[in-house]
Amino acid sequence: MESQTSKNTNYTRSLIEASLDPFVAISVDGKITDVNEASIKVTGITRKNLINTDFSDYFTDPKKAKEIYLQVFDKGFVVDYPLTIKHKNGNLTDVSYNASVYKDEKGKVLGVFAAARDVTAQKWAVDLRKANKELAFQNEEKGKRAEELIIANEELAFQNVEKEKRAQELGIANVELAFQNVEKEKRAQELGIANVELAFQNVEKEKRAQELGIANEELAFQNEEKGKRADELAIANKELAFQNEEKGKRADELAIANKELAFQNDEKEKRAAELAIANEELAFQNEVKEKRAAELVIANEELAFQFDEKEKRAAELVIANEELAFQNIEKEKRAQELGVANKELAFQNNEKEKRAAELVIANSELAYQNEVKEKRAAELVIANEELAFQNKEKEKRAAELVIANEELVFQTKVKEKRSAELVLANEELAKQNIEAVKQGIANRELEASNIDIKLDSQYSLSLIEASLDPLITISSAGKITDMNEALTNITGLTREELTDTDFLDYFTEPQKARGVYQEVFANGSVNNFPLTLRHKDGKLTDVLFNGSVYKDDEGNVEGVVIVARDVTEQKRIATELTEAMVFAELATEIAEHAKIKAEKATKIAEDAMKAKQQFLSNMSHEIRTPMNAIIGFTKVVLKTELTPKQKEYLKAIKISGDALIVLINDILDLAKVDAGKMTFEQIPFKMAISISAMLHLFETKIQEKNLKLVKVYDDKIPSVLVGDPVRLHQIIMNLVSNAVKFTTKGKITVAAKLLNEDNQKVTIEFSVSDTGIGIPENKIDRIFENFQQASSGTSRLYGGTGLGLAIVKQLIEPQGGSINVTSKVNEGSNFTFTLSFLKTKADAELDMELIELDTDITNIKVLVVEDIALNQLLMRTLLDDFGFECDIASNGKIAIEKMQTKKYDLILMDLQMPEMNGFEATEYIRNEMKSNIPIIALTADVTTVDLAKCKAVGMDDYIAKPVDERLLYSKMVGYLKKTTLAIEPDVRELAKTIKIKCTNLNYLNTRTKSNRVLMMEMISLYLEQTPPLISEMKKSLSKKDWKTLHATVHKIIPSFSIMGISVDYENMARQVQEYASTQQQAEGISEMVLKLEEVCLQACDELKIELNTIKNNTNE
Amino acid sequence: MNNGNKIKIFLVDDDAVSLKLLEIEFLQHGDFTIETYATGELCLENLSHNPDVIILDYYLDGINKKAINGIETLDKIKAINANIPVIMLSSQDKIDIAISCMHHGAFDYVVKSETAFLRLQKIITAIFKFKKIEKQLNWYMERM
Repeated sequence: MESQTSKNTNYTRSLIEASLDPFVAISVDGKITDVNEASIKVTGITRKNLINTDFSDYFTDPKKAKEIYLQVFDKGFVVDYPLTIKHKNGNLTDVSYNASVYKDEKGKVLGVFAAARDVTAQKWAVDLRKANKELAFQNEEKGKRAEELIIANEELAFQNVEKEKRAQELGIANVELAFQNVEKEKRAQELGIANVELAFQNVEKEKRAQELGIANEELAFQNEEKGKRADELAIANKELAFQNEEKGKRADELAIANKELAFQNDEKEKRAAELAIANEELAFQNEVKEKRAAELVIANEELAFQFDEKEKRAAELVIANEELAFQNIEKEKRAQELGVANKELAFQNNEKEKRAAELVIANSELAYQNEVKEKRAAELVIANEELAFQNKEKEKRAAELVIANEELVFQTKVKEKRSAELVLANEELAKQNIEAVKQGIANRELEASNIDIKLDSQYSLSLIEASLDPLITISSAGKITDMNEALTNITGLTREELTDTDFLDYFTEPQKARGVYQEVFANGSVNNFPLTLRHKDGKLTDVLFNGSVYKDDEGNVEGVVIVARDVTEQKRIATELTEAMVFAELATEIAEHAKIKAEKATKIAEDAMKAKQQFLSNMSHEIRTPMNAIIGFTKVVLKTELTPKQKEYLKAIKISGDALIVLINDILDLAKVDAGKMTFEQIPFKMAISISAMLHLFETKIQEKNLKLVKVYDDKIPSVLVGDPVRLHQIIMNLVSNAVKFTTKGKITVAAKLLNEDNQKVTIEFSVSDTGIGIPENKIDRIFENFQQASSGTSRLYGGTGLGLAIVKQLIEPQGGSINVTSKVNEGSNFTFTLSFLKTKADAELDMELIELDTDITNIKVLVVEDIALNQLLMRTLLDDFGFECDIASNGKIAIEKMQTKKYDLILMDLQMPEMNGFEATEYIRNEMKSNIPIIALTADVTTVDLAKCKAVGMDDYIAKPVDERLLYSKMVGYLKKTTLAIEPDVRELAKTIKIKCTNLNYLNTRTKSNRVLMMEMISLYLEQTPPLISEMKKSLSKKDWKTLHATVHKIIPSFSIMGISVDYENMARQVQEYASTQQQAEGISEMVLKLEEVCLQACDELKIELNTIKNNTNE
Repeated sequence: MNNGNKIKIFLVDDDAVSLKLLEIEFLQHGDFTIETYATGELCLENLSHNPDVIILDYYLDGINKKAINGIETLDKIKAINANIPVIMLSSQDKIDIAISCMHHGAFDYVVKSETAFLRLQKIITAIFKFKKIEKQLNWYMERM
């Protein structure tokens, strides 16, 4: 019995020690009376040091621990109270605290037994839940962002639809225009036919008039004839009368003549009377005819007048027709321009639609990902619910444990009863042993020890049963000898069924379990070996297997005590955690993916933007290059002698070309603004001169339209200001050209008023007002938008792209200004804008526009580097006009070669050329040749990129093609002056040697024996003879009159040696002569002629000076 | 001969500068009577002045295309008085021009250059030597 009890105590003790949950027994006064191994591990303090210390010392919140302790005494137990145990090294362990009192057999409370379950893992679950919530929140955020993107997309789509509508409107407008054109053409044709008809009728009428004239003349002639005949008749009558008288006389003389005769006389008299009557009749008829003739004359005059009228009308019709035809051409041009603009728009729309489509795809992708995320989130929520549910389950189990504990308590009570029975038995024994004193003593001792053991086993048992971990004792043969309630729960078998069965049967891997079991025997213990227990209905429980042998009093191994800790929950939580982590990672990955996609989409959009810019830049280059030639040559041709018609047509070409360039510039400007590349210069300039020079450009147009231009300039504005004059020009030009365009009568007022002035800057209000058609109130807000005009009909009537005001706004606002407009329909509009300018003491650079041809600058050699033949010719023509000498190199390489053999004053450099482009050539000139020669870039492409590159390689300036003659000249002169100014002070000597005198009077001196008079005679003869020869030479070259060229050059040749001009030129002249004699255009002939001209003119200049010196010397 | 003993030379050239230079040189290098003419026509008109030597430019129709050229002038001079020696002057050093001049009865052909005057001087000296010899020969022939 004793050994049984001792054995019992031993293995309960082992079980308790094996438990991983810290168990503590606490006395009534709060001191620790006993602990298990787990408690030692969790606190890090040895058993010895723990016993008899205050238990509450080992919690982070001792006060709370004490309260619970008191609660246990109050209620008899406490369940799942959360506390935190502190390890001596500072580690904290969250525990769920379960405690109950234990009593002696008399029911006296001996102390508290406490089991603290480690709930760190459960806390983890809580953290996980928080993490999940966080994820859910992030998902929501992403959902919101996706919605925002969707809204943005819709916005874009809406804008695209708007643009398409506008494009459609433009298309309709185009169709309308085309229709009108057709109508007009028809009308023109009808008019033409009508004209032809009229002309025909006119011709007919002229013919009829001529016929009438002839008829009249005929009539007049007949009248005359009749008049003559009447006269003759009258004479005849008189004659007759005379004869009658004679005959009467004869009758008288003959006395009574023949009755026959009398009768005859009577007859004759009668006839005479009849003749007289007939004569009168004739006279009357003549009168009538004269009247008719007069009437006919009047009718003729009338006809002639009508004919004149008709001719006038026909002429008017012809003019009207021409006008119509011109308008038709204009309209067709406009229609074409619109067509181009439409195509551009359509292309941009396509691009935008593509981008929109891409965005929509990206969005749907995002939406889909969001959905997936939401699903996952939902799954996570479900997982959370599951977790919550499991937690609840655990709580339930805890509750069940409490019940089990109660059960244990109950069983303890039963045991106590049994103990009581034992006590009774003992008492019986005591009675039996009363007589034997020794026995009695022994008995008493036994009794005492029994009480001890009983107490021991009672609380050990209650501890074992309270454990949630299956505790098993196994005999050395491997049979289960005892177990706690937890094992029966996990296996689903009763205590009775389990006892004496092979414990290995309950593991999924019996072999492994056996290995573990054997290890326990071999090593005495085993720790945390993972195994799986099987429930009878198949449910598996992952456990951590801990075991140690237990021995009898003599140290013989009696069996093994095993604690299998249920780690299913931990495992499951771990798995869920891993899953959640995987999900989270997946979600992150998806998010990353979406981000990459979004970035890709952004990149595509950026690329598209870049492509657009590139396209515009290319377009500008492609259009400018031919335009350069068109406008340039038009200008050149305009300078030649032309008929007024030709001049008119060429002017039309130039105006159209200029308009096209303005349009291209507008589009480029807008593209620059869009790309954020619009930059503003800060240079000093003279505001008043600048504005009036600019307004000058409008004078002809304003005069043509019979308008008045009123300039109001505030004198208080400082004369020199710092700002961007080019942009200011552009703004005012746009506004004024609009004003001119939309005003048919009245005046245009341009005003500048000083608004504010302080030490640093001035604010100026500019206004441009007109008396034109005005802007309807409902359209006034939209006129600053791109491609907007107050009414869609406006462009049909007045033309224009609708970009002007958009550009104006984009030019003003980035400079910190503002623009306002007030307008009344049919009364006029008033545009007002304010801009600030810095004050300066510096002098403004000379205004480009004001420089006239500078006669001081002569003998300038310019190297033009340009590959396109047309442009070469154009540049040569321009430079000839300026009076500059010019050499052409068709690429950078040739230019460098030329520079090595000849000295130039300035280079005009095209950028895009074969072999060696302008950038490379400039770099070479600056870095390898170390030359500071001014280089001006000629570029058709005026994007900011190129200009930056020009400056970077060391070019001094640039000029956009088509080259503006005045700008080119002023820029060239600016640089030429700079260099001469720079060179003159320190390199004067050098400059002198460079400019070698081409004449030498040594020969003349020797020949004339320094006879001044003779020399003077010679020189003046040369000066007299040479210039006409030169002009003759040039003329004959241009006319390809080889014979004259030959002769003139021949005449020039001897003078070279006389005046000491280098024999090289003489040879050159001979060469020209040689070419001329072959009678064909040889390469280089024109260059040579130019050189000859140059040297002769230089010689003339030099000789003039010589002549003067000689003259002065002679006078002395 | 005429005008005392001075030799009279006609200079004919449409290049005024060359003409003047030549005149200066002749005046400086000897005692000549010089008459200058810019065209062949003028020269022919004034043949009555009895020049001893005519120096005639080959190209006389360079500027004025209607003007007669050097060869034509030469022919006409020879037609009027074959005894007047004519020296042709040209800026071109061409054998065919030289030969054609000789064929038309020019006494010599000189290319315009720095040395042209020297050569002209020599030629003129030669002409008078030649004439003197001729005269002497004629005198002796008469005697014979």
